[in-house]
Amino acid sequence: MLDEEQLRAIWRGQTVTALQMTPQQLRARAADFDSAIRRRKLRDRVSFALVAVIFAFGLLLDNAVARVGAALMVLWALFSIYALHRFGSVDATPGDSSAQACAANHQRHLERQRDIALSWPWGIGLAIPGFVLVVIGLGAGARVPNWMFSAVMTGVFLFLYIGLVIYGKMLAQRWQREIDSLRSLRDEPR
Amino acid sequence: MTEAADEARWYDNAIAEFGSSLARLAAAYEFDRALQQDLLQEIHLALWRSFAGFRYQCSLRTWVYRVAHNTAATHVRRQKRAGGSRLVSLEELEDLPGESNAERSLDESSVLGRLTSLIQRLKPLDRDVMLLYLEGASASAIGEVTGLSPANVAQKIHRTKKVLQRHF
Repeated sequence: MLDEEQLRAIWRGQTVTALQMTPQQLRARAADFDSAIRRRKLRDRVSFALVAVIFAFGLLLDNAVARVGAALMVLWALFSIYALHRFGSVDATPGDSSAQACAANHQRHLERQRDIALSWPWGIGLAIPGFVLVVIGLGAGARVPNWMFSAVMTGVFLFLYIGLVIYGKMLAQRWQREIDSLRSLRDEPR
Repeated sequence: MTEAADEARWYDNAIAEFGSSLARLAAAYEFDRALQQDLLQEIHLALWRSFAGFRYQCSLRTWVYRVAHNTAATHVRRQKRAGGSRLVSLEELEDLPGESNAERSLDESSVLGRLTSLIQRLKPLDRDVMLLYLEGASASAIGEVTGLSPANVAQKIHRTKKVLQRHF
């Protein structure tokens, strides 16, 4: 039987390849990491900014109902960018926090992601009034009222809405599985 | 001296003093050699970045271990997400039967292999405790790194000793 000092000696005596990175290598790795995060944040915001720009053109339409709808859509897209900024990120845990604090922060981050996915029906639902007004305005504003166009557009929107709500639920379930898995890693009394 | 120069100096000091410990930590967290190197690089990067906030709030050793263990624990969570094997607590490991005396090899590389695979089966927090114990950290240092109360650290060290006795 080995005693604890022998085990420690074997553990500390193992052959390992230590690593020393130069400041240039470290800066390059840090820059890669930061730009990946920036790209992801930018992609989300640009998507909503595009929606805002597209519907901003709707403000030039002749029909007043369509203009109100377009204004609501622009407001919704701008609010979504704000919501992404305000609620989409969790304060990073300082790297030197204790293991428990770090795990707790990671769990909060997962819970936030899950709640965001669950709030999609409301978040996307807020776009419904604006979109419906744009569609009605465009249909009614045509020289010959084109209700078929309005019906098809509403159908497409509803199809996308239901699809996104289902996808949001699936995402929330995935985050929940990760939360459960994390809990199973730290399910001991402190 | 500028802050950047301070950070570079702390990083150099930390690696000179704890470079081998960090490499052993990576080996304990990752079996695959290539992933081990990736994890080690990730730890170095996290450490280098962390020194921007280092103002001697604690010893350099505690700081280095905290950053390294947090980075490694994040690595484990990612592996778990990717469907890694089930991890167990010290308590569960304590209940598992060890090899009989006749089956145990006292050959160093065999002991090291068994020790590493034992550590890799543990949940991150228990893994931290066992690694720090093997590295010779005191109970208070283990408490500082993990955030566990002194009573919990004492209990976990006691279990670590029992697990090691049973398996070696």
